[in-house]
Amino acid sequence: MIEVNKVSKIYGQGPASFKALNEVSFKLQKGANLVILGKSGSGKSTLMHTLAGLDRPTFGSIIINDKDLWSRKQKDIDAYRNQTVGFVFQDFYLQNEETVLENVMVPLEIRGVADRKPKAYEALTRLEIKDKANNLTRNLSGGEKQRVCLARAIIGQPEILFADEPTGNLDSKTSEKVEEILFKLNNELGTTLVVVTHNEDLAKRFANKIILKDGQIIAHEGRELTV
Amino acid sequence: MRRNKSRTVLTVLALSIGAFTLVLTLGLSNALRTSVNSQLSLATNNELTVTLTAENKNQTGVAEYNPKGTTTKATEFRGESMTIQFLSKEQIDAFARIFGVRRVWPNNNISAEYLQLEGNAKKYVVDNINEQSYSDQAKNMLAGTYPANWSESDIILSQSYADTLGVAPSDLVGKTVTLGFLDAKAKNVEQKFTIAGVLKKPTGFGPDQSGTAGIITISIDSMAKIYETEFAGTRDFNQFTYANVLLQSADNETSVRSAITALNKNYSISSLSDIVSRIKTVLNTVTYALAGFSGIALLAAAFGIINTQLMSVFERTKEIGLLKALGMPNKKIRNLFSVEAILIGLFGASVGIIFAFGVEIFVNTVFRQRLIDIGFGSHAILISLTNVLIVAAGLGLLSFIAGVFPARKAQKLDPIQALREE
Repeated sequence: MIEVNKVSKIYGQGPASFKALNEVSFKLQKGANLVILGKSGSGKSTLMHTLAGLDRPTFGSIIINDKDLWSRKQKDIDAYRNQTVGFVFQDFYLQNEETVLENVMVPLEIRGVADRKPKAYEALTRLEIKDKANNLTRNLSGGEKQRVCLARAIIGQPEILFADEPTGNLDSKTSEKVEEILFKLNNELGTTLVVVTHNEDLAKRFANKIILKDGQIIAHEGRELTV
Repeated sequence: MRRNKSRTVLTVLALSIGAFTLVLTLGLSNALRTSVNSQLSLATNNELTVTLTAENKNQTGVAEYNPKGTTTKATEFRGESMTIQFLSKEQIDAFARIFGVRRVWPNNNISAEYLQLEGNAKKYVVDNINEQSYSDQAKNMLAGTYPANWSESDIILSQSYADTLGVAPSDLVGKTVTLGFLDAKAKNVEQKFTIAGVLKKPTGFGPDQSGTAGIITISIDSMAKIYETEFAGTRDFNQFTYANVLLQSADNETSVRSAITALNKNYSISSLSDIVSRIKTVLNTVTYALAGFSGIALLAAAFGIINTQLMSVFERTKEIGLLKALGMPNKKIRNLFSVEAILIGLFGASVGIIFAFGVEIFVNTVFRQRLIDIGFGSHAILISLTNVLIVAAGLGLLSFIAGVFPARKAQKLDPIQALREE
């Protein structure tokens, strides 16, 4: 269960400050899927970053598995990023001079897992990109890079998978494939899926929906979602 | 590090130059110390030298004239300016009664007019008369033997006499020479000696005696007799500037020193160990000064590490952001850069040390014979394992310290801001 209580995020100080989130509250059931919609600057990415443990909210609390995420010690927040969540970035953020396999293994390397390769191959097989395991990521296409990014996000078998515009940089055919994979993970493994997108076709496939405007929820729907 | 090889290589190079200089300095100092030790060990003979410091040493200005003769003398003794009081024969004899003393004799400051080899018409100048030495001189002998028990007729000539006379050193052994002196009334007195051996030309750090100087060595007893011939009846007869005290063993030094001081607190005692310790202090000071200069070079190189690592943090901001986003703890991020800094330091140290070893082998091989000839020893550079370990550990530590600031900068980066960095 993800529980968001009156979360606000203010960037800067004084007259130049900017309120990216304004007392956002909602609850999402474990294993559900949620799409966060809104125009640019509406606070979608900021909300997801606060949920994923990447950006500390200015006010409010986020309860994950009955514990306040941002009251935890830094090492527990690090462990949360590494073990509880997986994150798919719109810009991939892959190490271009390293191979697909090396990129995918990074979260397990941080965790100190010795036997990383079998799990990396398992993730690559799931993403249907095992044959590129030893290629340098700089030589991959956009779709392939997104799948590597996904493989890296799921290798640690996270409870929650966050994806920021996962199909934003992809052509329609590749987008479909990535979408399939995301929902397959949600359905088959019970991974909670939280996605930020502009893509309306993708948004339609989600059971739960939040629309943000100026940092506030202006609309929502879904049975597993309480606002 | 491999991302920007040229920058890393240049930093390693800067460090290696510092390490090279430091190791070489320490190696040179080792060789110098070893050489000095070996030179001085030849002269170690358990001897103390006793002078009597003037009681009125605090007087200001020039001392008043005393027609009975001066009782004090401003002198330079073993590099130190001091005002001493002459020692009487009775005072010197008192030292001989101290337990642990083997022999006592004053400095019989004598000179000879000439030396003449039997069957040779020419007379030659005697530049310096040495008294018999109690240290092992076997290594310095060119021919004959250095007497273990000197008789009054024994004499040792320096190689310069053999060279000048054109006689093989071994042929001189057993021959008779005549020494001519002037007595107190300026009358010529001659004394015959038998050549026991010929000494090699002095080398290394011995007294400043050129290879062509005419130097002879005779027994202490002979010196005393010649002294009497030259000075008996003069006003300053039996007034000595210092006395030599030969110990039965080095173990007696402390007790003998105490006993001499107990006789008169103004006795000033010096020994070879004092001089050795003074030379070692000078050597150490020079070594530390040179090492200090190398240290400055290393300090400058440490700023190179800071620069390299800071550039690395700037260039890898996105990567650091990603690693943090994927849950890498701050401590690991910090260690990543600290370990890199230490590795750069250790690489630098290794390269510098290897080059220093290379120079050591080259110099010691090429100049080996020349070094032996000048009496320095067989090595000009002696790098020890301790030197290597100190430099490697020191540079590792310095690199670690230099890496702290960049590592902390990396650790403090905010993951989202770092990922957005262009």
